[in-house]
Amino acid sequence: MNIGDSRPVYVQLIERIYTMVLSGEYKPGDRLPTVRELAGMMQANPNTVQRALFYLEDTGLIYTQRTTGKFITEDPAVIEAARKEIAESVTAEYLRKMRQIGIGADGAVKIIKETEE
Amino acid sequence: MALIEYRNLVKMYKNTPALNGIDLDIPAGRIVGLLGPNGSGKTTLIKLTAGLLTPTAGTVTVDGFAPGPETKAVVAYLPERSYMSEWMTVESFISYFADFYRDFDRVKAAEMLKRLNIDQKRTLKTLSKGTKEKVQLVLVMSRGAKAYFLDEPIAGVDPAARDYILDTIIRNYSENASVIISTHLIYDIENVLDDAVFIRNGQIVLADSADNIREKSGKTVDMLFREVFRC
Repeated sequence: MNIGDSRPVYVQLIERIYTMVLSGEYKPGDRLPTVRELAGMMQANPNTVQRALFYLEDTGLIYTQRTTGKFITEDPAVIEAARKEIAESVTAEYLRKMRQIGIGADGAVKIIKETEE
Repeated sequence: MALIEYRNLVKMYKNTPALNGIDLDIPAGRIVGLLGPNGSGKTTLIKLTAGLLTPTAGTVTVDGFAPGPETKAVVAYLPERSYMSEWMTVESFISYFADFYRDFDRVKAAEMLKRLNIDQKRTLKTLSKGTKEKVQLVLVMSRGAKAYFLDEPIAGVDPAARDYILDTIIRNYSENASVIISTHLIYDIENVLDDAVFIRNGQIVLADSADNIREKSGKTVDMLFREVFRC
């Protein structure tokens, strides 16, 4: 976690867990570590971790199996929807910054292609 | 009833107020940062709760009891300064704590010391400052208390020891107990906190959840603290 980041910690935790799933570090159907283990890994408060997990459960990214713990969804549609949503928000932020320096969407696409090469 | 309740708590040293009307509830299951500059009253508040000082006016209760035998049985206190005798071994301190406190868990203490590679046969005077601090923390956290008061646990320790201390607090988290950490080094601990209490000149200036502070002010607790307490 980034200590200088002034957003609420549970928001940062949600983002981190999303990234872990979308990058493939946790695969669909994988069991998540317990709240306490996650808190230890992320050096964060257990109640805050719990709050982030409740949110992620609401979105359907994770689900609870009564006795065995929390798991990553096996529904590819939920994961793809999350990927798209995050990609859109990252892109919107990028385009906003590009506009600030006088480059529109078409110009941005051109620069992305040039940078890729 | 909250686990710990302060009602118009006042403590005077001669004619100088160290605490000037503290009203605060700390529920169970919280990790609370007691944050303020030196001399703001943090240690006085902790000592009043631990029953080492008596209030000039007002009350403090832990689990419904005023400080006394009932609260000492459920309050674990890590003082700012060491009270341990240098000639004693780590092992004898464990026996000492086990004799004093019914809720002391010897197995847990031994496990924690083993994880730290601390030899229980050694006397305290042969241990480094950081290791001594860790031993004291292990003794305090090995109790099954309802309230843990840690007075400046991370001041003057290296980053690895600080990480160990925070990790220990997280691992021992229980929804039936609260941990109160006093410090002026907020940057290091703020992600571990449920709540932050800012204290200045013996009065509470702000008490809120850490995430509320971030949401409302758009700042980290540390940034807000620096603003509030700017010299």
